[in-house]
Amino acid sequence: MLLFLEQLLNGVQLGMTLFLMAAGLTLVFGVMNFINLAHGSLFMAGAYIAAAITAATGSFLAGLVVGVLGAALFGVLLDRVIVRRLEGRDHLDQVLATFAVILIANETVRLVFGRQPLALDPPDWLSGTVEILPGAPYPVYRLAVIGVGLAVMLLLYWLVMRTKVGMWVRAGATNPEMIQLLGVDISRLNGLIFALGAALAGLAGIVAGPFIAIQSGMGETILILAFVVVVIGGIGSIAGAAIGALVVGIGDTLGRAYLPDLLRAVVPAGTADGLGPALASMGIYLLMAVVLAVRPKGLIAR
Amino acid sequence: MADALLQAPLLEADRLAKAFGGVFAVRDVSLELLPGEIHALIGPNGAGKSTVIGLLHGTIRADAGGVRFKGTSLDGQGPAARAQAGLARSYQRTAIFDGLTVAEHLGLAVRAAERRTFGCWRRAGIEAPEVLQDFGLEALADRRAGDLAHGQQRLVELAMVVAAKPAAILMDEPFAGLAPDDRPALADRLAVLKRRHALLLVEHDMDVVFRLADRISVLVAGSVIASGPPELVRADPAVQRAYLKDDG
Amino acid sequence: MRGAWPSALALGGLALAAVYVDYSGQRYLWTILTLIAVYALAASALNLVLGMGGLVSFGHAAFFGAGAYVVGILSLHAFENQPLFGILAANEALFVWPAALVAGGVLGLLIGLVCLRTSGAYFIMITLAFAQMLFFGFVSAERYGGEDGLSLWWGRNVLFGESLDDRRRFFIAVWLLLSGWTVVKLRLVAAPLGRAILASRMNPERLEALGVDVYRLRLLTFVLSAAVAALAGALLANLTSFVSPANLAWPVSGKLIVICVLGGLGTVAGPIFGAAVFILLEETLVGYTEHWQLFVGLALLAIVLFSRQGVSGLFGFRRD
Repeated sequence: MLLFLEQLLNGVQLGMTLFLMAAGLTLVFGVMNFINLAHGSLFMAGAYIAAAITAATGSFLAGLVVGVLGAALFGVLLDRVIVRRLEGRDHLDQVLATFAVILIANETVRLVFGRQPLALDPPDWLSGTVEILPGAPYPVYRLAVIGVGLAVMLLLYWLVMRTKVGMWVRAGATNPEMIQLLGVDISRLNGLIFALGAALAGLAGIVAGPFIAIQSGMGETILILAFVVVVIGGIGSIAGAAIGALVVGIGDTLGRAYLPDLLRAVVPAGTADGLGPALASMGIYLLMAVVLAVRPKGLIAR
Repeated sequence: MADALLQAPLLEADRLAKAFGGVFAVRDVSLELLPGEIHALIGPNGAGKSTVIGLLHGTIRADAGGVRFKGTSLDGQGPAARAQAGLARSYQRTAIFDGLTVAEHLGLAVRAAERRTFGCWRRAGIEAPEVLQDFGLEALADRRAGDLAHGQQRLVELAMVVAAKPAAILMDEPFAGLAPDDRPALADRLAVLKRRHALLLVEHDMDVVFRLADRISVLVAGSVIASGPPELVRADPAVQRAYLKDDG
Repeated sequence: MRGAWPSALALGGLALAAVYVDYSGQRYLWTILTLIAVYALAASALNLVLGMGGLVSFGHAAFFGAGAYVVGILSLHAFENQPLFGILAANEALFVWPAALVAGGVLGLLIGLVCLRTSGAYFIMITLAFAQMLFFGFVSAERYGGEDGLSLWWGRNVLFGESLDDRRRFFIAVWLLLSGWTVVKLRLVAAPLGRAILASRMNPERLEALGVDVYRLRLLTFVLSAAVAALAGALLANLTSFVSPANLAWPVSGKLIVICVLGGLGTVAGPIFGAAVFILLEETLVGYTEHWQLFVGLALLAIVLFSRQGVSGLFGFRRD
């Protein structure tokens, strides 16, 4: 039971990381109709910058701040050079361009930092465990990640629902021509959205840093998971991204933890040992297929 | 026109209703299209005419009511199935295949109607050459449709629809954006077409409507307020109040 | 550029190159040439969906890699003399290669059934996700090498009883398959099905309104494309005598798309030219620097940003 709680929380934590990735992705899709494969490179940028700065200064916080800003800046660069040029164009052109960015980013990182993974450790004041229930210690850092995720969710909610800028974003998602007629500088708005998404991706990379290897190509695996989140949640919906992220995060974690055992109960041991790990890693994609079969436009369809 | 009255209706809409977000775009609309006639659907902007076309064509699902074609219900069937049954649609904004030749457009339509679309070995042949001739498009047969002038493209679109020999054609504002000089030609063509393909026309050009149509239905705020031969409709006080007076 | 001439040129060019390679006696050149032919086949299969159908599938590596694994699995079982499910084990190409076609087709059907209900950005993401799913599936398949892959050190498949380990013989087999597929594709393009596929790219709603079931059309195209991509994968496994989950990774999908675009999306011969250019470029760059991917990325980015007609415009191949 306690083990289950631990896995559940791990799932929520993964969900939060995915939410940070997916929120930016889904906004950029929904408002700008731009498919950005390089979103994973922003994740990687955040992680690498934070790791480098933390190693240089000894301060996790400094790494965090500079990392997020760095990712945002990288996002602004991408926006100016690529996104604005390709906004109206074929999805294929956008795919090719952002795929090119992945190649460039991955190779640049290898050039600058070498092939050895960097390390990013959580700060001392976030290390250790805390007893969430008597007899159930849980890492403080993971709770902090969940906290950050929740904070961002609330921040985004406030931003999108309660500010003028947020209103433009919501309007822009359904009718971009209209808000231009109303005098909104759509270029700047889009630039802002893209930069925000980039910052969130960078933040995701930083908070995930202690758990995964910080190396070239680290962004793509989580990017694809973020795609699954966006597909399940529905393009353009932040609420959908939140729900989708939690579904995917919890589903993937619990699946990996319990599917092999569950399988053993139903199928002979030999087959279960062979199929178990495979099904566990494929599970979340199968879930996506099921969701799509029932609701092709995502759970929170627009 | 007397013949038309004696025949069974080709297309029947029975108490169609459709709401978008709680607002009724179409309520309790019943219509008939008889073989050999041009039936025009007119009404002010926002009256719901495009919605009615969409409901008849199958791109919009009705909230209530049904559509029957040649006596059989079309409910639940999408545009492709309806086209197969003989109910075709011609588009307001020219909808053609830029990269295909004029002849290939006709080929697509004919093969689709005859369920030969999936042939994969023998070369796709020329279909419906007589339609090419009727529309005066033989000279353009091998030209890429995307390279043609706008007026020619509209002809290609119509020719494509006609080539499949549909029993009925839904037309959404065929005269929209047409230069005044070109209107008589299209009107003449429609007058000829109606003999083989019944036409349900949504149109704004009142001159054309009152000269061409055998029957007119007037749609206001989602409901049909009058329906009948042009003279009767023109004289109907409700119609004059609601529509003809305000129309510029 | 319609007609069979570009294709004849491309295939003839490959044949001429083979003559040169044979004459030169440099064995590694056979590998490069055959690699070009294999990727040409895979990209040509993808182009049915991408160039003709207008659907950006970022998951064709799944079919390519699955085909490779069919070879790996069947020949492993044959070598170990432990038939799968009691009957499946073979090293004979006449069985294994059609098996790859079938496996690819079935996979294409399953994935296509779900993916083709979506469009646009969704379609791209979902095809990518399914390929990733299969990637993970094979990574967990410890029986077949897992993450490290499977080395087919016992040699290539056998065709008509004769080993394909001979490089020239293997190239000829691949070239014949590529040519055969090119002929099929040329006929397909000119046939009603081909015209309909092109129309479905240009204006799918209009095609639907004409009475064509566009979903069924796309599914058929997708299945065919997947089957042939899987065949290409089977040939790759034979060429490299190695199979691994990396064959199904997203960079491979990207590579196939780049090859199609490089050669010109609108033609049957395009993928063959694209494969030649890309593989030769890759081989040359690898020799200069280990960071060659950086330059490929920069070049690709420049091409996309500065070429208004897209890349095919550069080669003068106008899209239909």
